[in-house]
Amino acid sequence: MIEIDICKRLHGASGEMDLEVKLEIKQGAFVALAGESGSGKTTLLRILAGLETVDSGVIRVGDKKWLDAGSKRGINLPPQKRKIGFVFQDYALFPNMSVLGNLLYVRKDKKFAQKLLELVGLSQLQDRLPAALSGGQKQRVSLARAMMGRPEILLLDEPLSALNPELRAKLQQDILSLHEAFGTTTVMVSHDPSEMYRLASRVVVLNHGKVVRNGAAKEVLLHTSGSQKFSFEGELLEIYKVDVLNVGVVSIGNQLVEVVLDSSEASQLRPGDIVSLGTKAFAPLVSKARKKRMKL
Amino acid sequence: MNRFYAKITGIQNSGNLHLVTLDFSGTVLKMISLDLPQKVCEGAVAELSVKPSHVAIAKDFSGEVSYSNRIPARIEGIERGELLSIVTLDAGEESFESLITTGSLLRMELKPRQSVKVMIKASELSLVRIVDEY
Repeated sequence: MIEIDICKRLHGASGEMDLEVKLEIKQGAFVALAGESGSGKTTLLRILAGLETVDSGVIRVGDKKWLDAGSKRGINLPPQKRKIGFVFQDYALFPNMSVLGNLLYVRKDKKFAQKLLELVGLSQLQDRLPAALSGGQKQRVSLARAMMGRPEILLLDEPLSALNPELRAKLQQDILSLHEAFGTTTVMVSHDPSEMYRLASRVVVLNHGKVVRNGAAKEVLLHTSGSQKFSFEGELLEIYKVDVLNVGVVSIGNQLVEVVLDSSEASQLRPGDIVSLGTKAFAPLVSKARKKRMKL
Repeated sequence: MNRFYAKITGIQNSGNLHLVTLDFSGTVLKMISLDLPQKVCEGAVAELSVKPSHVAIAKDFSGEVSYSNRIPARIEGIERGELLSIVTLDAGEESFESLITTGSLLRMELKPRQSVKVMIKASELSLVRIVDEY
Protein backbone atom coordinates (compact mmCIF):
# COMPACT_ATOMS: atom_id res chain seq x y z
CA MET A 1 0.00 0.00 0.00
CA ILE A 2 1.18 3.52 -0.78
CA GLU A 3 -0.21 6.16 1.51
CA ILE A 4 -0.04 9.78 0.53
CA ASP A 5 -1.25 12.53 2.85
CA ILE A 6 0.40 15.79 1.92
CA CYS A 7 -0.17 19.51 1.96
CA LYS A 8 1.68 22.20 0.04
CA ARG A 9 0.88 25.80 -0.76
CA LEU A 10 1.40 26.51 -4.45
CA HIS A 11 1.92 29.90 -6.03
CA GLY A 12 0.53 29.40 -9.47
CA ALA A 13 -0.48 31.60 -12.37
CA SER A 14 -4.02 31.84 -10.98
CA GLY A 15 -2.93 32.85 -7.47
CA GLU A 16 -2.30 30.78 -4.37
CA MET A 17 -3.69 27.30 -4.02
CA ASP A 18 -3.32 24.56 -1.43
CA LEU A 19 -2.45 21.17 -2.79
CA GLU A 20 -4.06 18.85 -0.26
CA VAL A 21 -4.04 15.22 -1.27
CA LYS A 22 -4.93 12.16 0.74
CA LEU A 23 -4.72 8.98 -1.28
CA GLU A 24 -4.16 5.30 -0.78
CA ILE A 25 -2.84 3.37 -3.73
CA LYS A 26 -2.66 -0.41 -3.77
CA GLN A 27 0.65 -1.96 -4.65
CA GLY A 28 0.62 -2.87 -8.33
CA ALA A 29 -2.24 -0.53 -9.24
CA PHE A 30 -2.27 1.67 -12.33
CA VAL A 31 -3.57 5.08 -11.38
CA ALA A 32 -4.29 7.88 -13.83
CA LEU A 33 -4.12 11.44 -12.52
CA ALA A 34 -6.42 13.76 -14.42
CA GLY A 35 -7.58 17.34 -14.02
CA GLU A 36 -7.22 20.72 -15.68
CA SER A 37 -3.77 22.22 -16.07
CA GLY A 38 -2.74 23.98 -12.89
CA SER A 39 -4.70 21.56 -10.71
CA GLY A 40 -1.53 20.18 -9.10
CA LYS A 41 -1.04 16.88 -10.95
CA THR A 42 2.59 17.38 -11.94
CA THR A 43 3.48 18.83 -8.52
CA LEU A 44 2.01 15.76 -6.85
CA LEU A 45 4.12 13.54 -9.10
CA ARG A 46 7.25 15.58 -8.30
CA ILE A 47 6.50 15.36 -4.57
CA LEU A 48 6.23 11.57 -4.89
CA ALA A 49 9.56 11.57 -6.71
CA GLY A 50 11.22 13.71 -4.03
CA LEU A 51 11.82 16.57 -6.46
CA GLU A 52 9.67 18.96 -4.41
CA THR A 53 9.18 19.53 -0.71
CA VAL A 54 5.88 19.79 1.14
CA ASP A 55 4.63 22.02 3.95
CA SER A 56 3.36 19.04 5.90
CA GLY A 57 2.52 15.43 5.33
CA VAL A 58 3.55 11.83 5.07
CA ILE A 59 4.31 9.45 2.23
CA ARG A 60 4.55 5.81 3.19
CA VAL A 61 5.40 3.08 0.70
CA GLY A 62 4.82 -0.37 2.17
CA ASP A 63 6.35 -0.17 5.62
CA LYS A 64 8.87 2.52 4.65
CA LYS A 65 8.42 6.22 5.19
CA TRP A 66 9.66 8.25 2.22
CA LEU A 67 8.50 11.49 3.72
CA ASP A 68 7.39 12.67 7.13
CA ALA A 69 7.46 16.43 7.34
CA GLY A 70 5.64 16.46 10.67
CA SER A 71 8.02 14.44 12.83
CA LYS A 72 10.75 16.20 14.83
CA ARG A 73 13.66 14.85 12.86
CA GLY A 74 11.77 15.01 9.63
CA ILE A 75 12.20 12.41 6.91
CA ASN A 76 12.57 13.31 3.26
CA LEU A 77 14.33 10.67 1.23
CA PRO A 78 16.19 12.16 -1.74
CA PRO A 79 15.00 11.04 -5.18
CA GLN A 80 17.80 8.51 -5.61
CA LYS A 81 16.83 6.75 -2.37
CA ARG A 82 13.20 6.41 -3.43
CA LYS A 83 12.57 3.47 -5.71
CA ILE A 84 11.00 5.42 -8.54
CA GLY A 85 11.17 5.62 -12.29
CA PHE A 86 10.18 8.91 -13.90
CA VAL A 87 9.20 9.53 -17.50
CA PHE A 88 8.76 13.11 -18.66
CA GLN A 89 6.90 14.41 -21.67
CA ASP A 90 10.16 15.60 -23.29
CA TYR A 91 12.10 12.31 -22.99
CA ALA A 92 15.06 13.84 -21.04
CA LEU A 93 17.63 11.45 -22.51
CA PHE A 94 21.39 12.05 -22.34
CA PRO A 95 22.18 13.14 -25.91
CA ASN A 96 25.82 12.04 -25.79
CA MET A 97 25.05 8.48 -24.70
CA SER A 98 23.82 5.61 -26.82
CA VAL A 99 20.41 4.05 -26.15
CA LEU A 100 22.09 1.30 -24.14
CA GLY A 101 24.31 3.86 -22.41
CA ASN A 102 21.26 5.81 -21.25
CA LEU A 103 19.95 2.66 -19.57
CA LEU A 104 23.31 1.61 -18.11
CA TYR A 105 23.74 5.05 -16.56
CA VAL A 106 21.00 4.08 -14.10
CA ARG A 107 22.42 0.68 -13.26
CA LYS A 108 25.30 -1.33 -14.68
CA ASP A 109 23.31 -4.40 -15.67
CA LYS A 110 23.68 -4.99 -19.36
CA LYS A 111 21.59 -8.15 -19.39
CA PHE A 112 18.62 -6.44 -17.76
CA ALA A 113 19.00 -3.39 -20.01
CA GLN A 114 18.88 -5.59 -23.10
CA LYS A 115 15.83 -7.41 -21.76
CA LEU A 116 14.06 -4.08 -21.32
CA LEU A 117 15.05 -2.88 -24.80
CA GLU A 118 13.66 -6.11 -26.19
CA LEU A 119 10.38 -5.58 -24.31
CA VAL A 120 9.95 -2.18 -25.96
CA GLY A 121 11.18 -3.43 -29.33
CA LEU A 122 14.41 -1.43 -29.52
CA SER A 123 17.07 -4.16 -29.40
CA GLN A 124 18.24 -3.27 -32.91
CA LEU A 125 18.80 0.38 -31.99
CA GLN A 126 20.77 -0.03 -28.77
CA ASP A 127 23.95 1.60 -30.13
CA ARG A 128 22.26 4.66 -31.66
CA LEU A 129 22.40 8.11 -30.17
CA PRO A 130 19.05 9.68 -29.15
CA ALA A 131 19.31 12.25 -31.95
CA ALA A 132 18.98 9.41 -34.46
CA LEU A 133 15.67 8.23 -32.99
CA SER A 134 12.06 9.22 -33.69
CA GLY A 135 9.89 10.72 -30.94
CA GLY A 136 8.18 7.42 -30.24
CA GLN A 137 11.50 5.58 -30.06
CA LYS A 138 12.97 8.20 -27.73
CA GLN A 139 10.02 7.84 -25.39
CA ARG A 140 10.41 4.06 -25.44
CA VAL A 141 14.03 4.52 -24.38
CA SER A 142 12.94 6.78 -21.49
CA LEU A 143 10.39 4.17 -20.48
CA ALA A 144 12.98 1.39 -20.51
CA ARG A 145 15.41 3.62 -18.65
CA ALA A 146 12.79 4.40 -16.00
CA MET A 147 12.43 0.65 -15.39
CA MET A 148 16.21 0.06 -15.02
CA GLY A 149 16.18 0.72 -11.28
CA ARG A 150 13.31 -1.78 -10.85
CA PRO A 151 11.17 0.99 -9.39
CA GLU A 152 8.41 0.36 -6.90
CA ILE A 153 6.59 3.32 -8.39
CA LEU A 154 6.68 4.36 -12.03
CA LEU A 155 5.75 8.02 -12.47
CA LEU A 156 4.67 9.14 -15.93
CA ASP A 157 4.03 12.82 -16.62
CA GLU A 158 1.97 12.94 -19.80
CA PRO A 159 4.51 10.68 -21.47
CA LEU A 160 2.63 10.38 -24.75
CA SER A 161 1.20 13.83 -25.26
CA ALA A 162 3.84 14.82 -27.83
CA LEU A 163 3.16 11.77 -30.00
CA ASN A 164 0.63 11.18 -32.76
CA PRO A 165 -2.41 8.95 -32.07
CA GLU A 166 -1.04 5.85 -33.82
CA LEU A 167 2.21 5.97 -31.87
CA ARG A 168 0.30 6.62 -28.68
CA ALA A 169 -1.64 3.40 -29.04
CA LYS A 170 1.59 1.44 -29.49
CA LEU A 171 3.33 3.12 -26.56
CA GLN A 172 0.27 2.63 -24.35
CA GLN A 173 0.71 -1.08 -24.96
CA ASP A 174 4.42 -0.84 -24.04
CA ILE A 175 3.60 0.98 -20.82
CA LEU A 176 1.02 -1.62 -19.90
CA SER A 177 3.41 -4.51 -20.71
CA LEU A 178 6.16 -3.03 -18.51
CA HIS A 179 3.68 -2.27 -15.73
CA GLU A 180 2.42 -5.85 -15.79
CA ALA A 181 5.78 -7.56 -16.33
CA PHE A 182 7.32 -5.93 -13.25
CA GLY A 183 4.27 -5.53 -11.02
CA THR A 184 5.17 -1.86 -10.60
CA THR A 185 2.73 0.61 -9.14
CA THR A 186 2.21 3.20 -11.86
CA VAL A 187 0.95 6.76 -11.57
CA MET A 188 0.39 8.53 -14.87
CA VAL A 189 -0.72 12.10 -15.53
CA SER A 190 -3.00 12.08 -18.55
CA HIS A 191 -5.58 14.23 -20.33
CA ASP A 192 -6.75 11.55 -22.71
CA PRO A 193 -9.89 9.64 -21.63
CA SER A 194 -9.27 6.74 -24.02
CA GLU A 195 -5.72 6.37 -22.70
CA MET A 196 -6.96 6.37 -19.10
CA TYR A 197 -9.72 3.89 -19.90
CA ARG A 198 -7.28 1.53 -21.62
CA LEU A 199 -4.52 1.66 -19.01
CA ALA A 200 -5.72 2.72 -15.61
CA SER A 201 -7.51 0.62 -13.02
CA ARG A 202 -8.28 3.82 -11.14
CA VAL A 203 -8.71 7.45 -12.15
CA VAL A 204 -8.09 10.27 -9.67
CA VAL A 205 -9.24 13.73 -10.71
CA LEU A 206 -7.65 16.79 -9.12
CA ASN A 207 -9.27 20.19 -9.13
CA HIS A 208 -7.60 23.21 -7.50
CA GLY A 209 -5.30 20.94 -5.55
CA LYS A 210 -8.01 18.65 -4.14
CA VAL A 211 -9.09 15.16 -5.13
CA VAL A 212 -12.60 15.56 -6.54
CA ARG A 213 -13.11 12.12 -8.10
CA ASN A 214 -11.51 8.79 -7.31
CA GLY A 215 -12.83 5.58 -8.74
CA ALA A 216 -12.82 3.00 -11.51
CA ALA A 217 -11.99 4.48 -14.91
CA LYS A 218 -15.45 3.84 -16.36
CA GLU A 219 -17.20 5.22 -13.30
CA VAL A 220 -15.20 8.45 -13.39
CA LEU A 221 -14.94 8.98 -17.14
CA LEU A 222 -18.39 7.98 -18.37
CA HIS A 223 -20.53 11.09 -18.87
CA THR A 224 -23.97 10.18 -17.67
CA SER A 225 -27.04 11.89 -16.40
CA GLY A 226 -29.81 9.59 -15.21
CA SER A 227 -30.14 6.87 -17.83
CA GLN A 228 -28.50 9.09 -20.47
CA LYS A 229 -25.27 7.41 -21.43
CA PHE A 230 -24.29 9.76 -24.16
CA SER A 231 -23.79 13.23 -22.91
CA PHE A 232 -21.77 16.19 -24.09
CA GLU A 233 -21.49 19.79 -23.07
CA GLY A 234 -21.58 22.53 -25.61
CA GLU A 235 -22.57 26.11 -26.28
CA LEU A 236 -25.97 26.86 -27.71
CA LEU A 237 -25.35 29.26 -30.60
CA GLU A 238 -28.81 29.76 -32.05
CA ILE A 239 -32.39 28.56 -31.90
CA TYR A 240 -34.45 28.79 -35.06
CA LYS A 241 -37.95 27.71 -35.86
CA VAL A 242 -38.92 25.59 -38.83
CA ASP A 243 -42.50 24.41 -39.27
CA VAL A 244 -43.63 23.54 -35.72
CA LEU A 245 -40.08 22.62 -34.68
CA ASN A 246 -37.41 24.50 -32.80
CA VAL A 247 -33.89 23.63 -33.86
CA GLY A 248 -30.88 24.42 -31.71
CA VAL A 249 -27.37 24.83 -33.13
CA VAL A 250 -24.79 23.69 -30.57
CA SER A 251 -21.03 23.89 -30.74
CA ILE A 252 -19.39 20.81 -29.24
CA GLY A 253 -15.63 20.34 -29.39
CA ASN A 254 -14.75 21.66 -32.82
CA GLN A 255 -18.02 20.67 -34.45
CA LEU A 256 -21.46 22.20 -34.84
CA VAL A 257 -24.46 19.98 -34.36
CA GLU A 258 -28.17 20.62 -34.79
CA VAL A 259 -30.73 19.19 -32.40
CA VAL A 260 -34.50 19.40 -32.36
CA LEU A 261 -35.77 21.12 -29.23
CA ASP A 262 -39.31 20.81 -28.05
CA SER A 263 -41.22 23.91 -27.01
CA SER A 264 -40.43 23.68 -23.28
CA GLU A 265 -36.73 23.16 -23.95
CA ALA A 266 -36.69 26.03 -26.41
CA SER A 267 -38.44 28.40 -24.02
CA GLN A 268 -35.90 27.74 -21.25
CA LEU A 269 -32.79 28.20 -23.36
CA ARG A 270 -31.03 31.24 -24.80
CA PRO A 271 -28.14 31.45 -27.25
CA GLY A 272 -24.90 31.55 -25.27
CA ASP A 273 -26.15 29.02 -22.69
CA ILE A 274 -23.86 26.10 -21.94
CA VAL A 275 -26.05 23.07 -22.51
CA SER A 276 -25.73 19.37 -21.96
CA LEU A 277 -26.87 17.19 -24.86
CA GLY A 278 -27.79 13.69 -23.93
CA THR A 279 -29.41 10.64 -25.34
CA LYS A 280 -29.74 7.07 -24.20
CA ALA A 281 -27.13 4.53 -25.24
CA PHE A 282 -29.73 3.03 -27.61
CA ALA A 283 -30.24 6.02 -29.87
CA PRO A 284 -26.91 6.93 -31.51
CA LEU A 285 -26.09 5.32 -34.84
CA VAL A 286 -22.47 4.29 -35.11
CA SER A 287 -20.41 3.74 -38.24
CA LYS A 288 -16.74 3.65 -39.05
CA ALA A 289 -15.46 7.16 -39.71
CA ARG A 290 -11.90 6.41 -40.77
CA LYS A 291 -9.46 3.56 -41.13
CA LYS A 292 -8.58 1.63 -38.03
CA ARG A 293 -5.46 2.62 -36.17
CA MET A 294 -2.28 1.63 -37.97
CA LYS A 295 -0.59 -1.43 -36.57
CA LEU A 296 3.06 -0.64 -35.83
CA MET B 1 -39.43 17.71 -23.04
CA ASN B 2 -42.14 15.44 -21.76
CA ARG B 3 -41.41 15.04 -18.05
CA PHE B 4 -43.49 12.94 -15.73
CA TYR B 5 -43.24 10.94 -12.54
CA ALA B 6 -43.71 7.24 -11.88
CA LYS B 7 -42.99 4.90 -8.99
CA ILE B 8 -40.44 2.10 -9.45
CA THR B 9 -42.04 -1.28 -8.75
CA GLY B 10 -39.35 -3.64 -10.02
CA ILE B 11 -35.83 -3.85 -11.44
CA GLN B 12 -34.53 -6.79 -13.47
CA ASN B 13 -31.03 -7.01 -14.83
CA SER B 14 -28.81 -9.03 -17.10
CA GLY B 15 -25.24 -7.87 -16.58
CA ASN B 16 -25.29 -4.09 -16.64
CA LEU B 17 -28.49 -3.99 -18.69
CA HIS B 18 -31.53 -3.12 -16.60
CA LEU B 19 -35.27 -3.30 -17.14
CA VAL B 20 -37.14 -1.05 -14.75
CA THR B 21 -40.89 -1.50 -14.18
CA LEU B 22 -42.81 1.55 -13.02
CA ASP B 23 -46.31 2.45 -11.98
CA PHE B 24 -47.75 5.54 -13.64
CA SER B 25 -51.16 6.14 -12.06
CA GLY B 26 -52.23 2.54 -12.62
CA THR B 27 -50.49 2.00 -15.96
CA VAL B 28 -47.44 -0.27 -15.98
CA LEU B 29 -44.41 1.30 -17.67
CA LYS B 30 -41.14 -0.33 -18.71
CA MET B 31 -37.81 1.39 -19.20
CA ILE B 32 -34.62 -0.24 -20.40
CA SER B 33 -31.21 1.18 -19.62
CA LEU B 34 -27.52 0.27 -19.23
CA ASP B 35 -26.01 1.01 -15.78
CA LEU B 36 -28.48 2.76 -13.48
CA PRO B 37 -27.66 5.54 -11.01
CA GLN B 38 -27.19 4.15 -7.49
CA LYS B 39 -30.32 5.75 -6.08
CA VAL B 40 -32.60 3.71 -8.31
CA CYS B 41 -34.44 1.21 -6.14
CA GLU B 42 -37.90 -0.27 -5.72
CA GLY B 43 -40.34 2.19 -4.17
CA ALA B 44 -38.43 5.27 -5.35
CA VAL B 45 -40.14 7.89 -7.48
CA ALA B 46 -38.46 8.57 -10.79
CA GLU B 47 -38.72 11.56 -13.06
CA LEU B 48 -38.95 10.23 -16.61
CA SER B 49 -38.70 11.93 -19.94
CA VAL B 50 -39.26 11.18 -23.58
CA LYS B 51 -38.75 13.30 -26.68
CA PRO B 52 -42.06 14.22 -28.39
CA SER B 53 -40.74 12.68 -31.61
CA HIS B 54 -40.58 9.32 -29.79
CA VAL B 55 -44.20 9.43 -28.67
CA ALA B 56 -46.58 7.57 -30.98
CA ILE B 57 -50.36 7.87 -30.91
CA ALA B 58 -52.80 5.02 -31.52
CA LYS B 59 -56.51 5.49 -32.07
CA ASP B 60 -59.17 2.74 -32.00
CA PHE B 61 -56.31 0.34 -31.69
CA SER B 62 -56.76 -3.41 -31.70
CA GLY B 63 -54.19 -6.16 -32.01
CA GLU B 64 -50.75 -6.50 -30.48
CA VAL B 65 -47.90 -4.04 -30.70
CA SER B 66 -44.35 -4.34 -29.36
CA TYR B 67 -44.41 -0.95 -27.62
CA SER B 68 -44.04 -1.76 -23.90
CA ASN B 69 -45.64 1.49 -22.81
CA ARG B 70 -49.26 2.13 -23.79
CA ILE B 71 -50.80 4.94 -21.79
CA PRO B 72 -54.51 5.90 -22.10
CA ALA B 73 -54.79 9.62 -22.88
CA ARG B 74 -57.08 12.30 -24.26
CA ILE B 75 -56.17 14.79 -26.95
CA GLU B 76 -55.94 18.26 -25.44
CA GLY B 77 -54.82 20.36 -28.34
CA ILE B 78 -53.28 20.24 -31.78
CA GLU B 79 -50.76 22.62 -33.35
CA ARG B 80 -50.87 21.88 -37.03
CA GLY B 81 -47.82 22.66 -39.11
CA GLU B 82 -47.22 22.18 -42.81
CA LEU B 83 -45.29 18.93 -42.46
CA LEU B 84 -45.27 18.19 -38.75
CA SER B 85 -47.83 18.69 -36.02
CA ILE B 86 -47.68 18.73 -32.24
CA VAL B 87 -50.45 16.90 -30.42
CA THR B 88 -50.85 17.67 -26.72
CA LEU B 89 -52.21 14.75 -24.77
CA ASP B 90 -53.66 14.57 -21.29
CA ALA B 91 -52.93 11.39 -19.30
CA GLY B 92 -54.34 11.78 -15.83
CA GLU B 93 -52.23 14.35 -14.01
CA GLU B 94 -49.56 14.58 -16.66
CA SER B 95 -49.56 15.87 -20.17
CA PHE B 96 -47.52 14.67 -23.12
CA GLU B 97 -46.52 16.15 -26.42
CA SER B 98 -46.32 14.00 -29.49
CA LEU B 99 -44.69 15.13 -32.71
CA ILE B 100 -46.23 13.41 -35.71
CA THR B 101 -46.46 14.14 -39.40
CA THR B 102 -49.38 16.28 -40.43
CA GLY B 103 -50.17 13.46 -42.85
CA SER B 104 -50.76 11.08 -39.93
CA LEU B 105 -52.81 13.71 -38.13
CA LEU B 106 -55.11 14.00 -41.13
CA ARG B 107 -55.21 10.29 -41.92
CA MET B 108 -56.15 9.43 -38.32
CA GLU B 109 -58.60 12.33 -38.15
CA LEU B 110 -57.28 13.30 -34.73
CA LYS B 111 -59.40 15.90 -32.94
CA PRO B 112 -59.36 17.39 -29.45
CA ARG B 113 -61.13 15.38 -26.72
CA GLN B 114 -60.69 12.06 -28.53
CA SER B 115 -59.46 9.13 -26.44
CA VAL B 116 -56.23 7.60 -27.73
CA LYS B 117 -53.25 5.58 -26.52
CA VAL B 118 -49.81 7.12 -26.09
CA MET B 119 -47.12 4.63 -27.09
CA ILE B 120 -43.48 4.79 -26.08
CA LYS B 121 -40.78 2.17 -26.56
CA ALA B 122 -38.99 1.01 -23.39
CA SER B 123 -35.63 2.03 -24.89
CA GLU B 124 -36.86 5.55 -25.64
CA LEU B 125 -38.03 6.30 -22.14
CA SER B 126 -35.30 8.06 -20.16
CA LEU B 127 -34.73 8.30 -16.44
CA VAL B 128 -33.90 11.90 -15.58
CA ARG B 129 -33.40 11.48 -11.83
CA ILE B 130 -34.74 9.93 -8.69
CA VAL B 131 -36.97 12.37 -6.85
CA ASP B 132 -35.99 12.55 -3.18
CA GLU B 133 -39.16 14.17 -1.98
CA TYR B 134 -42.35 13.66 -3.84
